[in-house]
Amino acid sequence: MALVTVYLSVLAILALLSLPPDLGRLDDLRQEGLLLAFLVAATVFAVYLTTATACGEIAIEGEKAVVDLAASPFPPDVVARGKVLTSTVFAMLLLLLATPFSVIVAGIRGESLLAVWRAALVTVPVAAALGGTVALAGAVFDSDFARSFVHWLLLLALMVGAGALPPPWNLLSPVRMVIVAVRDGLRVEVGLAALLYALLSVAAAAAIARRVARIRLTFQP
Amino acid sequence: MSLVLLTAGPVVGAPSIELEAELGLGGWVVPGRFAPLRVEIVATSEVRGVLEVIVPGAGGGSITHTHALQLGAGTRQQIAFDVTVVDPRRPVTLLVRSDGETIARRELAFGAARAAEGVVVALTPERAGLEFLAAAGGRRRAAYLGETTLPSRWQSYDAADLVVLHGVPLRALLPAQQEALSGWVAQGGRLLVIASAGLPVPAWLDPLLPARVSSTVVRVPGIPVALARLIPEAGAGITGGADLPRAVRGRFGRGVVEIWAFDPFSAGGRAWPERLRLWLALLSTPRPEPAAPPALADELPKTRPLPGSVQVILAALSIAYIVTVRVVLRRWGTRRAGWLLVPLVAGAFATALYAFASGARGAARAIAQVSVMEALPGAQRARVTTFVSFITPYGGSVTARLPPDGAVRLLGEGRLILDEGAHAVTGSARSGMAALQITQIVDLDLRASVVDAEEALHLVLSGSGPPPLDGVLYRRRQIYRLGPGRLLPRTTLDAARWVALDRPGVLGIDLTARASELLLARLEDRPEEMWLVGRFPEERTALRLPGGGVGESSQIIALPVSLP
Repeated sequence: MALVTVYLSVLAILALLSLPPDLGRLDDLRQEGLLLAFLVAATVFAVYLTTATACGEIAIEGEKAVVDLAASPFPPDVVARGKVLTSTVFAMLLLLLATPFSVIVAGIRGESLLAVWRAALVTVPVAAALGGTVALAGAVFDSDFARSFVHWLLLLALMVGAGALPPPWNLLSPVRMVIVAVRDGLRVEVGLAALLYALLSVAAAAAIARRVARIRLTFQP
Repeated sequence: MSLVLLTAGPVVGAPSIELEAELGLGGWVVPGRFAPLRVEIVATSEVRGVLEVIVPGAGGGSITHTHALQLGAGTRQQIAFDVTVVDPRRPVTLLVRSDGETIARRELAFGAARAAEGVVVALTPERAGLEFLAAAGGRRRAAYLGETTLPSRWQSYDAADLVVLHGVPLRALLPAQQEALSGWVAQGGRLLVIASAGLPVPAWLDPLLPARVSSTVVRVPGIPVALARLIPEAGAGITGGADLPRAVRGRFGRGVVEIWAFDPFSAGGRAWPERLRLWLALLSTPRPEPAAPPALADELPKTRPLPGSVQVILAALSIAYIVTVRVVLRRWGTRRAGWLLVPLVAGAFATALYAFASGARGAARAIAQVSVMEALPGAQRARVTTFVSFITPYGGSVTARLPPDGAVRLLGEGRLILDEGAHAVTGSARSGMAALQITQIVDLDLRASVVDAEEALHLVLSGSGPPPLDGVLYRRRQIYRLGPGRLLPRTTLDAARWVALDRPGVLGIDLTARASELLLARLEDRPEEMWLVGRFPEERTALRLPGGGVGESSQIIALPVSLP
């Protein structure tokens, strides 16, 4: 509950801070850039919260780590699908809750609401894949430091590092994906990048299942 | 003559349209000044649509002039515009649209070769007589027009340095043509009338002429052309002997009207070297600048902040949304199908916030305008220059109704769409503010004079026009406050009440006061004149929003005062 409150409060402040008309005349932003800036910020925030809760960096009541679920009676593939599905649903929830603030910025700047929809559409597979990946990292690394290190390294590598790659590989960056989706629509390259992330979430689920099986074998009497 | 025959390309199912366009005075354009554009459309089948003329402006902006089209099969329609060409290298685009589709498109390219520094317009039956312009150097060009091609709007003469009336039956001019020429001269134009013996002076021209033409023709030894005998009006300037003037000059409003006793277009006239001196003297006569300074546009507001109440309501709705989400998640989040409430709540608040934000965006659009009505002495007219800013802080556009017969000029970057038929203008700009200037000529019967009577000076207002409000007298950087409210027809002046206008803010800080100070600073260029400046509510000159509002508006009159 506190997580959602903080998340919504930050987005509300960002939306209200975008109200001054002078911002629309800055050369770097213009009118259409303000909605894009807001959507990028919301995307990064949602992905961070999804991955942080998945790896345990932020504790959520009722959310269990992969290691803890290894001791449950659920089959490994059920555990794996559950972790990836949790990340997916959580990301969708965060993006849905952010919608009223996105439309404030879209409404005041005269931008199309389709941009909000397109940004959400490309963010969900990214958050699901990264959530599954860091959940796997939480199962592989025992140390909290190592887990957080891998988490932040992954986020920085994708959000920032991938953006420095030459096109079309820079679309691996979720930030770049949202920018292209909002400005140019759902192009083929954006769809392929989203598909890659969807495949990554499948791979992460498979890896989690294997990890759960190995943990159970290790502790099997 | 820039006559361009533009024929639309074949489009399956679309009517065939021929577009003929003529730009400029005799095909000449002066960059930055209005140029007449005549477009003739001929259609082989019925067409109902819109003609759009897209003129590139400065800084990437543009003005699109639109006019409704309604043609039957095989008919033609002629439409006149006055456009401002900023860069002659960039073409003017003509489009014919019908039912949302472009059915004809052509570009009117005329190039830098058709650009001039000024144009001398001659209404004359023969296309000759102004060859001296080419020999005189510079880029002043000649335009020979007939009574059918003489403009019918004063702004069409904007590029003209001089208009010459010669040998054409002036009674044949349409009332609109007469008024256009009179209005242009009153603003500061130069008019030359070539006298011929027994010149029939039409009624509309008579008030402008500084001399009467007798029926006598005189031959003077040494002068290869006959001279008509001119009888100057009182106070007119004379060139040549007082008994047989070669030329008589007078004023009409801010303009100069000269009448010559000889015909410079005749063979004898062209052979007379004296004519060159007269031509050049007339062409070098200073033309007064409008009293309204261009800097007035900078005094207009460029943006509007979002009202505090709107920000408070948005913040309150945001807080309410966060609280509602918390309540929903806490109470119903774990119940079966309780999650359905989350998208319902998000959707409801999203709808409300979007509607409110969109409404706030529309409400932020506004206009601000300041008008300066400069009385033109002796012409019973006034030139009204209105500077308008279309404020769109969150993008979008503003539409307003134009005053009648206003000539619109875009200042800076921005996009304007002028509906010439509906007299409406729509403006937008990426920077959030589009500025434009509108100039009109209106009738004004109001005069001010200072008379010396009963051992005191008195300011006397005469005429049928309403007196200004909150007036001040201005002369040589000193002002005399005439008191609040409407001016009386007669006011006694006290010499001790003159104060120096030596620092900003003396007149106040509102838009009217700032505009008045700029206006008075401009009038410093005319130290020999006294001016009466005041507020002047005028219904005929303001731009109006669709709801009838005028936005932030200020209207000032500047009335020259006759001195004893």
